Amino acid sequence: MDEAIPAACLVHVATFLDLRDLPAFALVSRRLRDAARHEFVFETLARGMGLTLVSAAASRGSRESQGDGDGSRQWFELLRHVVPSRREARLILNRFEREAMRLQLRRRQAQLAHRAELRRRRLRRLARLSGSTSPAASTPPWATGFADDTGDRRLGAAWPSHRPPGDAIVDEEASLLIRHRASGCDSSSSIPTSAPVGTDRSLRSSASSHRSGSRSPSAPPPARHRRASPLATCGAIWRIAAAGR
Amino acid sequence: MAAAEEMIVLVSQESERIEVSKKAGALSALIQTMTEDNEDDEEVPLLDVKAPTLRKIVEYMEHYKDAKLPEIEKPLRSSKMEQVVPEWDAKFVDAPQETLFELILGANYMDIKPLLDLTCAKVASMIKGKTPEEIRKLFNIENDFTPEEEAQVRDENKWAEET
Repeated sequence: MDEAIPAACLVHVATFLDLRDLPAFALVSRRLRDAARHEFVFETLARGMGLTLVSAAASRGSRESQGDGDGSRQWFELLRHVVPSRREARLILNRFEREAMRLQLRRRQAQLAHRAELRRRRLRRLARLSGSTSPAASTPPWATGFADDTGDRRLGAAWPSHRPPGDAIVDEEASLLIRHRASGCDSSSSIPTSAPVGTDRSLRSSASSHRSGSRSPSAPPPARHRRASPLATCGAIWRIAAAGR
Repeated sequence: MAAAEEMIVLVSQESERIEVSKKAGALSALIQTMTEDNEDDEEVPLLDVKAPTLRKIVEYMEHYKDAKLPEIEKPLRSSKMEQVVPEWDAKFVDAPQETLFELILGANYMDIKPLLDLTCAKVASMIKGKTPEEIRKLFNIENDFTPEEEAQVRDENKWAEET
């Protein structure tokens, strides 16, 4: 083995040995002693100094991400007192960093798995609400937007039959809009661009206007005050006509 | 009908051509780099790897092309490989020393980290719990220390023996 395996691989073998087995390994031959040295330094620091350096390196990584860039240099200086050369100090520090990265990766994977599980649960709950069993097939369209994603994005083109209660008014607006467009009217004059107050869309719109702060005095009033709905327009025309009679 | 799996040809030291699926070959960082660099060339020359070793490495890569690669705990908690790695892995490295060392060299050259871990862990499992003399005998290693050097190493590592 002494001759057959490159030094780098002997170092790799040493990483699998316990601290109790390393002295025997180091006493076999000069090459094995050299291979054991990295492991001894690692173990000396990790155990002899009473530090869990892997977790310390992990927290150092997070401190560095918060702007403490001196962490790596401090660890390097510490190692320089223990190992004979800068190269070996760098090798050991790299190993700590790899271990730390592996720990962080595991933590991240666990987080992602947890989030995926939460998402699956949410979809299952939505599926139960809509009365279907398969989460993928039964995700209510009102939960994702339009009912289908085939490219037909006309308002009202694919409203689901099992939409939640209270959306009827939106449906009515949609059909009015379609009829209005079909009649060839100028869309800029009287097309209702906002939903009636109380619908989901108007709530979103009022929320966004609220977030954007107060309106300047010169700014035009919100669309729902400026533009009359087609029903209101019809009513006004009817009243004018009736007054004219 | 499933599409035919894309294959690449590995060429051993003896110019023997051994086929491996592209997916399995991707376990080797060397093969992956070489196939990416020469997309038209389907042959990958591995002149440092002997044919029997290459066949065994291909067997490993094909086994793990779809399976999750296990991580080996450091340090080993047992000298019995079947207690630290899956059964298939333990059987895979249950080979003569010469084959094992060739696998280490091959895994190192082809940059297959999980295989390098497995083979080095096997060597460590053989060392675990043995005295220096037993290790020398097992691997046929000559003691090249002078008595002074040996005393120095013993002295330096005394603390570790006491833990």
